[in-house]
Amino acid sequence: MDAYVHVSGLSKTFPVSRDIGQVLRGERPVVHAVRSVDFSIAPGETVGLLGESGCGKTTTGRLLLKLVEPTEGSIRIGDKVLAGLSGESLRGFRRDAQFVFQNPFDALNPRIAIGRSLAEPLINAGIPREEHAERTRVVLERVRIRGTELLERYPHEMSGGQLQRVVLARALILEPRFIVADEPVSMLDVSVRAGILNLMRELQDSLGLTAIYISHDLALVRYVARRTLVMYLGSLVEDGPTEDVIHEPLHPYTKALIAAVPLPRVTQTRDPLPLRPGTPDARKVGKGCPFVNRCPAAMAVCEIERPPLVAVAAGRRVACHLMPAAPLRAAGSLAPAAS
Amino acid sequence: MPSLMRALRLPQNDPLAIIGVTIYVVFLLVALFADVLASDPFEILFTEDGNLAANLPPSLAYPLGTTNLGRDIFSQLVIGTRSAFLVGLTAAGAVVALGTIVGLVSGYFGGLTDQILMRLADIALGIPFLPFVIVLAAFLGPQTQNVVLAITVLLWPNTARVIRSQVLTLRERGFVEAARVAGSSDLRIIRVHIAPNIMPLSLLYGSIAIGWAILTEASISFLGFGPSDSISWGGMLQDAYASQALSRGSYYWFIPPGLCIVLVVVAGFFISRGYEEILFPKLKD
Amino acid sequence: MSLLRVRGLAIDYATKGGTLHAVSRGTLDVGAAEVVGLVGESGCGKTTLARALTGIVPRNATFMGGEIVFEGRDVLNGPPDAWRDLLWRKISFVPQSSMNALDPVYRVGAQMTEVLRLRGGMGRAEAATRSEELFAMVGLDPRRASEYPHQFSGGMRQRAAIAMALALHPALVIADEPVTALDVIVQRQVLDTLRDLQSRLGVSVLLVTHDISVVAYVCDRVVVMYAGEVIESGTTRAVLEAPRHPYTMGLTNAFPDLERAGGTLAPIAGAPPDLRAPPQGCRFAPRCPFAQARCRAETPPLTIDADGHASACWRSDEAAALAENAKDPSTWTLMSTSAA
Repeated sequence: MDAYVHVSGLSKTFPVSRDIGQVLRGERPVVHAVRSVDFSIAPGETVGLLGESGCGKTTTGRLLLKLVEPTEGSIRIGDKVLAGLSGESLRGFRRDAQFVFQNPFDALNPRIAIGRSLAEPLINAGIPREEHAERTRVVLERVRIRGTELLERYPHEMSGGQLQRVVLARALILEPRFIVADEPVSMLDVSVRAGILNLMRELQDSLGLTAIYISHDLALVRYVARRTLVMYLGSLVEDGPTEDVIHEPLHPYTKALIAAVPLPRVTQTRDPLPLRPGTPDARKVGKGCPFVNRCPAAMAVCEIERPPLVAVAAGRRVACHLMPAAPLRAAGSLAPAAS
Repeated sequence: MPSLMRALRLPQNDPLAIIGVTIYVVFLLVALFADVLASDPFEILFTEDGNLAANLPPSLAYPLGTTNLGRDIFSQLVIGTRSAFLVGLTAAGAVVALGTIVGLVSGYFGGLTDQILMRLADIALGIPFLPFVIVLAAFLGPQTQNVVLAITVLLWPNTARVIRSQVLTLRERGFVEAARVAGSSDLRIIRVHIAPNIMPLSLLYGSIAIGWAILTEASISFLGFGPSDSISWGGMLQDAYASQALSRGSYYWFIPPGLCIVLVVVAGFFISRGYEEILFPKLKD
Repeated sequence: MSLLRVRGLAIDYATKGGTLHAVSRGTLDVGAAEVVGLVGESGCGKTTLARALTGIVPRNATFMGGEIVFEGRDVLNGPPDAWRDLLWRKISFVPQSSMNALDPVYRVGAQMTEVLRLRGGMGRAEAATRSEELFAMVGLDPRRASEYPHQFSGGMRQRAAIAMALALHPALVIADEPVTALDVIVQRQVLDTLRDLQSRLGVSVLLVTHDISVVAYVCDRVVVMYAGEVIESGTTRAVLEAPRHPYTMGLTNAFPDLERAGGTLAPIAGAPPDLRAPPQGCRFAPRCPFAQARCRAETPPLTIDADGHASACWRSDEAAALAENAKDPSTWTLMSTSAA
């Protein structure tokens, strides 16, 4: 099947503050938030985008919804190439692609009642006013909010869990085909988190959404996504079915990340992490592998050459010099999505 | 009063804001009913024996006495309320409107637009106040609208800068990005999501601007560059000063207009304090 | 005898909407050289309780009763000077965001030596030596002592905050969500450092967190709070493996486990009560799938069994059966239709 989301060579740089020497020399240093990222997502597939803070996962999500413009590379979603969208075509794209925000306490205008916030996408899309009530009713049912008295309320009168349901409802009200969810439960208390996660699972199935779930928490990614992409300092380092990535991580970074996750049980390993001391710094990534300064298995080649993301097995890609490319596949080819 | 406070979005338990609003309301009523309260301020009065009623001390007939030209000071004071409010409110309105629009556009769109508008603001801030007013009065004539124009040109950058920085913060808020994802146009985002959130700040600068405008108008009139065809508090002070009321000890002539200016300006600051408490609640401690 | 003993601590906040009973039944013990986790959701009073142990509470807070006994002395009802004297020397504090602990305009090393000189009465040279020792101890390069807080990463700042907390050999370190803002790998490294230092120095740690996995990873014992009250406490193993309070059961169900495949997470329906007007009886009853008439009428006392496992639930003698029942997500979903 043809990919619904197709990303190739995607890069985004941001200017960083300059010291006086750089100003005098006229240099404009940049930090690579996202660096030549390639991936595709099949229609109806949910992919987890996993990484630590500053790895570029949120920037990638924002690029996918044209909230920021890429420095290089192209994005196609459905039949639309994002670079060419403006005015009416951009408005059309906004009907099909939606974002679920991390902080429900900030994603709704505090001065506007919930009902009006929910109607905003409908107004923008030119949906006739007489359809608003019905659309609102349907979407509230989808996110398991009962009763319409809530529509009169303001965000500060609601709990985090309720607010995130409203944010989700607003994303769904135009019946989009593609959703980017950026850490949608990280601001919520544990006891309500599960409700939102369950809801997201249900909605993916019932609406056939194509989705990207951005998170730093592998356990949460696993709960909603069958396939996971792992990012480290702007680069995609691993791609594969979530269960395989968890049980047999291939990239040394993924291995460390999984070993570091504490488990909610008394018996668990407390072995030292497979890492060399070092701190991740996006500004200090050279031409080699971004993980080279912390990798326990780093070799000479890792310092000078960035390993490409290559298919190493069916549905699995990894960017590491330790991993030979699968013999039958050309290096750098895009692995088909495993779904 | 509570409903008025609510309409102005002021805290109702703030005594200073209540005092400020009360002063404004009293002066506004005086301005509205000035015709009933006062007689013609330009009328030259004579005593019963036919002499010019000049420099009379306060009496029942002339509560604040008369000027050296035999005009009723009380009537001048009452009629002067009108020009004070006319100038104060229109100038403050113009300052806030211009400052808010420039701040919104500059902060929201950024880039070259922002650069140009903010450099204009820098230039306006650099204009020396008195020479500018004198030159403007000389070129355009000493009319009320020119006084308002001068005040607007000089005061808008302060409002614009503060609104701009507030917009820069708001622009990064999640709900603004959420509105963009929901397909809202820039105009709609500004109108629905940003402008209402900066309203208290605009009103704060508006209430400060009223005080400044009235003070500025008084200074201009006092220096003799104000409109000569109308009565204003500043103009009254100038008349009093020019006719040496001070050395004659005619306190009833210059204290009342001076006091009115102080009261209105202070009321503006009291109200602005109320807005500050809404905007920066920590000041309460 | 325990190092710290808190009984029936009650703290009220004066707020706009009325008196908020932030902590009502704060009861916990921290033994010598023990790591105790204090868990609960936001607004449950865990941070208020933990901070109160240092004697530092917000201006609108009032102690309403109870006792805080540290090394056999009731500090809450004793002279305030004695309590203040314990700070840093005996009880130290690691705040949630180490950005708050470190002043951005001073070098990290200077802030450390200041604590040593002011509170520890050390001379300049002695403080400098000790400061270097402390840096090395928490895994920081002592040469970076001359840097400013913004030049440190989040993990490094948290290490510096831990080093400062340990500077004067305290008996008890209170750490408020010390790893919450950190990435998984850094979190793990900081927790390893904390645990390692704790066992080497024999210091006790009260670790405030919302994350059961963090508790499971480092804590010997755990205290669970809900709506201002301590509702369960015991060894980490006992509380996580055989929870007695339905809230703890719900909480453990709501956490995904990376090593356990499949399964459905079960949310706890509803939201915690408004602590300005807490419900009568058990405060968890409105969200509890096992609540009975008595639960809504009478407050269950915190009862301790022979093993030191305490819980405040009228049905704790049926705990094993309830826990089994609680593992079925449908137990909790039956409720969730009635509340958003």
